[in-house]
Amino acid sequence: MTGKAEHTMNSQLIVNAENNTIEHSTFKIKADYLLQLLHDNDLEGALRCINEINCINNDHVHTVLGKITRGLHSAISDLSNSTANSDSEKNKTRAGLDYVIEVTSLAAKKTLDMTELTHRHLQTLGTAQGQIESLVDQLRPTLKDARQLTILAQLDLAIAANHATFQNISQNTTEIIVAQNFQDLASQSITKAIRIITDVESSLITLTQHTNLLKQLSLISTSPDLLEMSVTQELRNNLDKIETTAPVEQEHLDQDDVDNLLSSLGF
Amino acid sequence: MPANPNMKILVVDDHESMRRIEKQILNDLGYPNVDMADDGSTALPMLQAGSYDFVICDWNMPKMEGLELLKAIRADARIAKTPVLLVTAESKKEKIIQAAQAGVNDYVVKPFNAETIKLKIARIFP
Repeated sequence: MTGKAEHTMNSQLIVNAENNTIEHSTFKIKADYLLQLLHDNDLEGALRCINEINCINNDHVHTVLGKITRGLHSAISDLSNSTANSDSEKNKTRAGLDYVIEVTSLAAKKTLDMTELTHRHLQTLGTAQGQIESLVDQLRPTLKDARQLTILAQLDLAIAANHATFQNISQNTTEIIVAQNFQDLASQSITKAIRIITDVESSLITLTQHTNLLKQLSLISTSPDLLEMSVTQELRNNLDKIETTAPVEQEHLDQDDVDNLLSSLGF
Repeated sequence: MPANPNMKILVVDDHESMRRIEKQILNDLGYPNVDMADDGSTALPMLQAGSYDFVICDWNMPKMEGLELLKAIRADARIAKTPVLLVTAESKKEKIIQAAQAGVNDYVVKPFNAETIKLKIARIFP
């Protein structure tokens, strides 16, 4: 780890520790206050205080959820951008993993095209080899001279060697073709991974929306005079909208929608 | 009955590269009469129209997946006895049981090689 990264991490730990300390001291103050209210038999005040303590918890859960959602969303965005080489390519690319599927599929097809072509060339070679063997067989009974017979023997050896090489290349090209079946498996696995990541992101966004609205509703119920009734109604309507449209995974938000939504929720 | 080298085979897979791979393997194994379909819904009318002796089919396909095609084959008296080999990445136990219950003749898990296909054909056509 570099000195700068270490310093950043340490600073983050200090900030987190400070936040926890603030949170704990707030808890203690509220708890002491609650005890006092109960001691004074102020039940209405005690209930309000309990609500406020709950709010501290809700705030924490909301913040953590928001950070996870933002982190996952950034990771997906980075992944989408890192696989495209230029801005125009980025625009063409729906997502990085889709791009990987497309590129590997094209590569597999090209390999198949070239290997099948090689296979056809091999068949042409095999036919030519067969013709040569047939011609040699026709020539064989006519050759009597010792030198001619020596050349014929050498020709037989060369034909046999060619035959063995032909078999090897043919088997190898088949192996190359069969090896491409990993592309299909890879694309299926990547497709499943895309679906899972998208579902997790959608669920986190829904959860963040819920916690945010619950937080705002609990603030309203704690201090009804702080907000106009119309605002309260709007929040309740939003909550209803989320509840009636859940599960949200069926609805696919685009990149900008997700960015806007997270920003509007303060992440 | 041992496999007839002239038997008519239908390869069903939504991935073009997989169809070509399977066709090449079959050609290399000595079966030149291979047709291809990209989905169960394309394959079924081909099977009903032509006299295919053997079907090699993927599981996960759009529109009509392999298991549905298998059930449709078994439900049609004209083609019900056609041997079906499922070639798929699905290797979960319950999936294999489902396929067996639907009447599959054999099951190959991807990735596979030519030798596996050869053995399966030998087992289906003893």
